[in-house]
Amino acid sequence: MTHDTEHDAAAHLPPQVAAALVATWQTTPTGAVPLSDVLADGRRRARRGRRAMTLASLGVAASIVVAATYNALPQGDVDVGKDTGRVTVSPSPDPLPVGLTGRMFVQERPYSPGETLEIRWPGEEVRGVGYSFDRWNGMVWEPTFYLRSGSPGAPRGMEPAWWPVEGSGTWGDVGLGGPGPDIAVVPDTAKGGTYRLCTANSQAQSCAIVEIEASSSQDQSAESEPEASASASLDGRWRVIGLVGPLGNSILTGPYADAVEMTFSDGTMTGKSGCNGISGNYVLSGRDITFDVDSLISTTAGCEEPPLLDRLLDVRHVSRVGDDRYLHAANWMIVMVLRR
Amino acid sequence: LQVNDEQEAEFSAFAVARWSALVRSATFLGCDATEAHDVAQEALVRCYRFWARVQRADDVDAYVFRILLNARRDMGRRKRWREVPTARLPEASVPDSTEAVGRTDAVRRSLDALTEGHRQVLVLRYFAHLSEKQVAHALDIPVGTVKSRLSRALDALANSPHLVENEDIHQREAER
Repeated sequence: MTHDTEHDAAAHLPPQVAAALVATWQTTPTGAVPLSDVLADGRRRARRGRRAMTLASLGVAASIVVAATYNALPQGDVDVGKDTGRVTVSPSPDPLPVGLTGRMFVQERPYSPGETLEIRWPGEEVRGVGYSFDRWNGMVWEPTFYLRSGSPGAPRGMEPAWWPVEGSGTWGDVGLGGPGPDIAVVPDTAKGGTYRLCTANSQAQSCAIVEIEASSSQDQSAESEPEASASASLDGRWRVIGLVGPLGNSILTGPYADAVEMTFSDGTMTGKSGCNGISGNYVLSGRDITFDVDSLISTTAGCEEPPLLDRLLDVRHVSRVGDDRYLHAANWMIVMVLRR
Repeated sequence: LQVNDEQEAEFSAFAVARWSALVRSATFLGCDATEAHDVAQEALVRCYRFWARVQRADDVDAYVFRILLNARRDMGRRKRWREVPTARLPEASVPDSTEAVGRTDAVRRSLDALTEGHRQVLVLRYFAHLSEKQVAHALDIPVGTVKSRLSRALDALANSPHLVENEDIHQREAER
């Protein structure tokens, strides 16, 4: 507004308005450029960048490989370094489907064996009637059942059906369109836990997560068989051993990567994001969890630490896998991995 | 990533030349004084770290102000939670005249009334002195959008009740 553009702006503004803007601009204090601080910080970050690259090239840096897929629970073999405490998740023999092209939704709530599932298709992709129903065993998705969608009461061969993967069953080469819902049935013999429902004979490859409640008879044996579960208590102190950025990359990096922890108790979270203390309130209901944005606080020591609070804002779900806890975004992408 | 001595000297000259514009732009974009310094400093640090890339940019100024906007956005995200009290007192502020305080407040309120997009275009075009093409590049929007936003931003400022009110005050003071 003081150079060649002055007349352009002034032509649209009352003179005193333009004068007020220019005067305010010119009198806004700037102080001296903190050049030494800028150079020191820039050099430090440049050195850190080089060091990280070197470690990564040697395969020393811990990393998390997470398929950035939609509606997906963790997949892979988890290994925690004895010395570093960091986690490495390597691809499993049965990786998650990548490049999902369809959008398939199943209402998020616990289901019981024998209950019907409504599978909806907002994109109205053409799909078949066959589905795989894989159970998360704590390490990998274990092929467990096949499902056939259909209409209840329809003639034999067209009604919803299920069978174990080692059993026999069939689905016809039927194409469906429209938004659904396509009706499937939760297998009567499905054990409680987390399942992945995926299209099995469709061009549009899609998956959705389905939680199955353990039946009363299964509850009796639950203690001897810890599994992925909807009931994921968070109480107590946890180390954050995995932190995943919005793009699916590991962001648990830097000098404070081993110093990130959280303690949950009665709706209050306290912890460390590296060199700063953090706290805030959360609401946990079943497998849904949200953190109150306004309650999240952090001390303000200046250091390069993992952006824990940033990622907490995206957390919407929690799941239990063995003794670990996974915090997920709304679409079930992993955000954090917690371990005692 | 490595910056040699010659590049560092070039960067230093660049930082000194751009510092005031970066701080004032951050202020006009809505930062308070402390935030504006932090955002400008963060932008320069990012420039330093990727100095070779900055130098290779087709339009260095557009690139740098894009970095500034990104730095402000990123630091704004971190500010969404409140800070805790500290024993460290802030730096003492410089006393200002009542007139200047009133004017600055009126300008800030008038800028606050603009949409974020209109405000960014206005600040980059008329205060940071970027061309319309540079503004388009910095904000990653078409030049036509820059023009239309500028027009609307200027109209809003011309009719801003905060600045008109301020203008009336000045007139009354002049008449006394």
